[in-house]
Amino acid sequence: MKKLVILGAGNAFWEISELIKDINKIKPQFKIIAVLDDNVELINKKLDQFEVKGSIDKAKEFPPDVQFIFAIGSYKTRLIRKTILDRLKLPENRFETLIHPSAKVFSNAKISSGCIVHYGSIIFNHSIVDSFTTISANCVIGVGNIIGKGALLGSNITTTTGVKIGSFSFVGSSCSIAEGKVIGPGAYVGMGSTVFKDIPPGFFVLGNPIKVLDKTEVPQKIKVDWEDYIQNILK
Amino acid sequence: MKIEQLIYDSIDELNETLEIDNRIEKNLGTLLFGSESNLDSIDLVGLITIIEERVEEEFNEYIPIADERALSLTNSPFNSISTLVNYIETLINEKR
Repeated sequence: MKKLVILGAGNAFWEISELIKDINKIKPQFKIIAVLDDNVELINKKLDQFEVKGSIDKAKEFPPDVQFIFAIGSYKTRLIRKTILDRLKLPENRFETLIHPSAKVFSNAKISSGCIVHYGSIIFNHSIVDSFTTISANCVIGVGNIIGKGALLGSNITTTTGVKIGSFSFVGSSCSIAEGKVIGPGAYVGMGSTVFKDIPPGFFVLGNPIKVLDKTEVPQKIKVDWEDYIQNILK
Repeated sequence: MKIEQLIYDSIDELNETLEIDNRIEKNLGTLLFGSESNLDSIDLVGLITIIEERVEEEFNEYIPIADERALSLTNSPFNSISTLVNYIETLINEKR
């Protein structure tokens, strides 16, 4: 059994804990040995039967046979996730990718380390999902999509062919994204939106048709890395 | 019709759909966006949609209010009713 440490004791912990239980029902593969969180009020408390053993920086103290699950993230913290990952300086292959048994990932789709794919989601052929992406329940990721590092996708999202979702962006539940559209890195697409045009980096959009309501400055490094990532794939 | 009045009429229409505690006041200082605003994001979208419809009725032209240009400004036009009045007046003057 692979030993797992969950980084984050918020809502995502419960989703991931349940996901691991479902995977283990099919074939026992994972054992949670600890939970880490920076909230001092949670330290030494138990979530389910798992103890919160300290701050997230403690991850570096675990031996190499221990894998991690990155369970931090909401629309508010979408960019902070990058800061936390940089701070940890752990190689990406120390992060396990979890795919729910009811999810379908096409054999020629690619998913990198540290991703979470929840119940009932489908990732169609030739799509590429970079590390630390979370795809919540019942999403349909269309053909040939590119999803950048650390993107957070809510439930019931439908993307059509050739969509690109930028690094550390957040797409709320029940959004639909039209063919070939690009969600910029760090953008926030509010729940239920229908995206028929490209969304620039850091923009907060909502509605159908979408309204542009706000923007957040996205670190240059995230934008450059996203562009490089796309260019490398398209070579 | 003055834009300020057009926005107040739009607020009346929106307020009819809101709980009493969530209704917004009709004055230039009322905040429309952010943690101190009474409006949540989806209600702001609703208000913008109503305003766009009323502007189209008044000026016979659809003028998008919440697009990329709105965020190219140093201060968001959605901060308050005052900033929104100024922004819409600018957009309309450009069309004349």
